[in-house]
Amino acid sequence: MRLELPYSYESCVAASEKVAWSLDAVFPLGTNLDFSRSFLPEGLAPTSPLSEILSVDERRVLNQIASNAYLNLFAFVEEYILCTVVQHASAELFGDHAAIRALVRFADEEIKHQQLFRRYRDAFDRDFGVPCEVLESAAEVAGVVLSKRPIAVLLLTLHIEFMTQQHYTECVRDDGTIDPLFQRLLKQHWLEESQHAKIDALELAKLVEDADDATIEAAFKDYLELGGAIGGLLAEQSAMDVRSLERKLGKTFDDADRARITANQLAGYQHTFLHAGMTNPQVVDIMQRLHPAMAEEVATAARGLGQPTELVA
Amino acid sequence: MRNPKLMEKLINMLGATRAEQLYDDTLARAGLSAVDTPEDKLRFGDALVGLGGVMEAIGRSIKVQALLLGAREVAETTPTTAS
Repeated sequence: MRLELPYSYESCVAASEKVAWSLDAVFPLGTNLDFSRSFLPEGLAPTSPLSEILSVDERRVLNQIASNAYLNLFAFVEEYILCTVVQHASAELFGDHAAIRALVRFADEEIKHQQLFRRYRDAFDRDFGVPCEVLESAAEVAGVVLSKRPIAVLLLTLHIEFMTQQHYTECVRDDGTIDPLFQRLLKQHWLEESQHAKIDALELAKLVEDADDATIEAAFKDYLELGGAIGGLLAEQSAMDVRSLERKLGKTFDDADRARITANQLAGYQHTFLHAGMTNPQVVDIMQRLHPAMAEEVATAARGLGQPTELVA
Repeated sequence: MRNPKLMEKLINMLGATRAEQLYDDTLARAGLSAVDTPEDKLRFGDALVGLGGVMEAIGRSIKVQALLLGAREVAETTPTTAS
């Protein structure tokens, strides 16, 4: 299976050099967050379906809780992505120097993103006022992902990298209402993720070159299983969000409202982290070229996830 | 025909003549006639690892490549030689 791609390791390195940034320039230590504004746009952290049970201020707090979880989830998955990229660089040692350079640069940028998100989360924890719960089992998640076939790991990585770009270009870039600092942070992330997605695709092309149909089909099944595992984590995070909101607002929701807020959070996360990646045009294009029947299965699974009601696209 | 991905590493490190010699010797030590599948690549890498030094490092890199391509590592498949 030959996957033709309109870019190269060299072009990825050249683009990366053009957009490179430093951690201190984007998020200096001691930076304060502006809690008077929402951090993520409605399209990525929807709260409008909850307007009957939460005030505008309460919805803004919920948005900030979801934004904190959003960056934590990226830091989370970047743990396994870093491991994967280092493995791929190791496989190229002594061989293709252009590939090694692109992969090592990719790894360096991923660590920088993790540090960036850590700085943001430290600032959030310092100033939010109450503990805000986020998922903490990054090692377990990395273990589950890395236990799958390498092609499946790259399919998931491709999903995440292209999805990140879509989040920024379709929802964040032109939103004039959210916190400019958070918007800038996501911009810097997007600038480097653009190359990462292409490098992922180049690595995927190598893995599928001699793979037969059955191997690719099995990898797609692994990918769908990983999607299910991520869905479980998102459900866990949704329940955490409601507890954090209650803690911050100093009130306890009745069972019906708690269930409604939890369902809203889950639908939002599923749309943001699963549906967006599974239906991303570039991801779909590559999946269709790899295995049309399995690409259709992915499309069917994505349709099952649906979208939160009244979601701003 | 020698595997081009493997030869690329060996040539980068040893030059063409020594690379060809090492490739053929390693193939024989691994009990292979060619490197066609990820499993072949794994065995070739294992045979290089047994040489120690920089060859060991190259062998390990080839093994990672083989695993990424779908080879399955079976516990201690490589015959060990008493020295």
